[in-house]
Amino acid sequence: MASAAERRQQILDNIARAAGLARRDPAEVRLIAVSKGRSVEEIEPLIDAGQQDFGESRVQEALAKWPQLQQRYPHLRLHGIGRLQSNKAGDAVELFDSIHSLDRSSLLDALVREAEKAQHFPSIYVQVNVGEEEQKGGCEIGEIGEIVAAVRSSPLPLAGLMAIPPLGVEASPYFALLAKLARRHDVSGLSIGMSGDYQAAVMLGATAVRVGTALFEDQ
Amino acid sequence: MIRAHAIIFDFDGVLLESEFEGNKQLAELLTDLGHRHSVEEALSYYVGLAGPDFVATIERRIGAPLPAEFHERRKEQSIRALREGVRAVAGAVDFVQSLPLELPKAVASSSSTRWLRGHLQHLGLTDAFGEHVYSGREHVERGKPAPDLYLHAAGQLGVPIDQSVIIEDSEVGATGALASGATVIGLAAGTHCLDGHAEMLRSLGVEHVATSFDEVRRLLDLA
Repeated sequence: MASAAERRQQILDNIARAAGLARRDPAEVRLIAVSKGRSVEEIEPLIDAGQQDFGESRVQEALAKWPQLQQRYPHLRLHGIGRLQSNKAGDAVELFDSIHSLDRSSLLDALVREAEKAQHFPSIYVQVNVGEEEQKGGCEIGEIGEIVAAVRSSPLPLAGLMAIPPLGVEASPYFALLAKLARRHDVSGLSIGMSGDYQAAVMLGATAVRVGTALFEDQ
Repeated sequence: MIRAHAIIFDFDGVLLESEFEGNKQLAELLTDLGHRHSVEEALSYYVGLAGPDFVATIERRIGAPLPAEFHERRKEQSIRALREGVRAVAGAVDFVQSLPLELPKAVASSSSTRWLRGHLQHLGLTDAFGEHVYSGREHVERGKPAPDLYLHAAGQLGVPIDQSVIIEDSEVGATGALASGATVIGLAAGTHCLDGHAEMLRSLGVEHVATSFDEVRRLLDLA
């Protein structure tokens, strides 16, 4: 059985290899360990192995685990990667260093309000519903320009675009589409790719990959 | 069965045995310079790399900077290959020549059009592709693995990408081909395809993998 450190190193090696094949600098790619549903006991070996970026989907769950961990390990960066309701904006801006799921202006307004109160300004990825799925979070492709402009004129730094492609179909065309949309809107960050497809995402321009299963479980 | 309204071919490693021949020469050259390499080692470590990454990877492996002689002899090898030609991947020439004349077809490669046209002439395939020979260095801003070159080729052929078939052998190429939205046939027919090549293509998400052009023919129902 591989240790957390070995699994992490394997993923970093795969990222470096995929980046090399695409003539990219692996240092441009941030590995985010998706720790939703994982206990502190599962998370700490990864921190010990050097992992600094973690992602959580639910604010409530993150609140239960992370304030203590953040105190103990102040260098960690926590990313909010799940759908976010406006009434959780206060907790979200205090907890997260980056929020990957901004998909509407009303949520941005709530985040800005709370960020100014807390004087903590997480960076923002605009989530795009690239597969145009009814149940999925993310703004419509046609709304990107407006939301990106709103973030740019807010005190929250714009980190990039984020997408979760439809399940059960090839993800690469959606990664390529998001990369194209990012270029069109002059955005450099791309949060794409998960355990099953992060290498393709890196080859197609990912600057942040969100990996859970492959980091926490033997494949 | 796959219905192809157009076929877009990668070149090196799909139509031309240049991946194998190039790495064989690279292994011989490195061995000559005192850094023993087998062709299998060269294929494992250096396929898909180019430019500064290629040089840096070799230098990391041998633990020393490459001498000027290495670069001079690589250039000579490339000039000689273009002058004398390189053999085709088994079955490639027959396959292309047997395709219906009216079926749109293109070459989409990371190599220069000079290299592509020179070798197409050696292979007797210049007329099969006509003007549809596209280079990732010359025809698009972003080469593979970005899907732009395939989209450009399909656009030039006048066929929607989702009705096009791309034949690719490499990890970088197949990733870009899948990202284009075309149907991708992963080809593991070249001599450079070591054990595990077909599995590598499948792991990328390539649904159709062929180990010979006869298999490609069957997948396309051209038999």
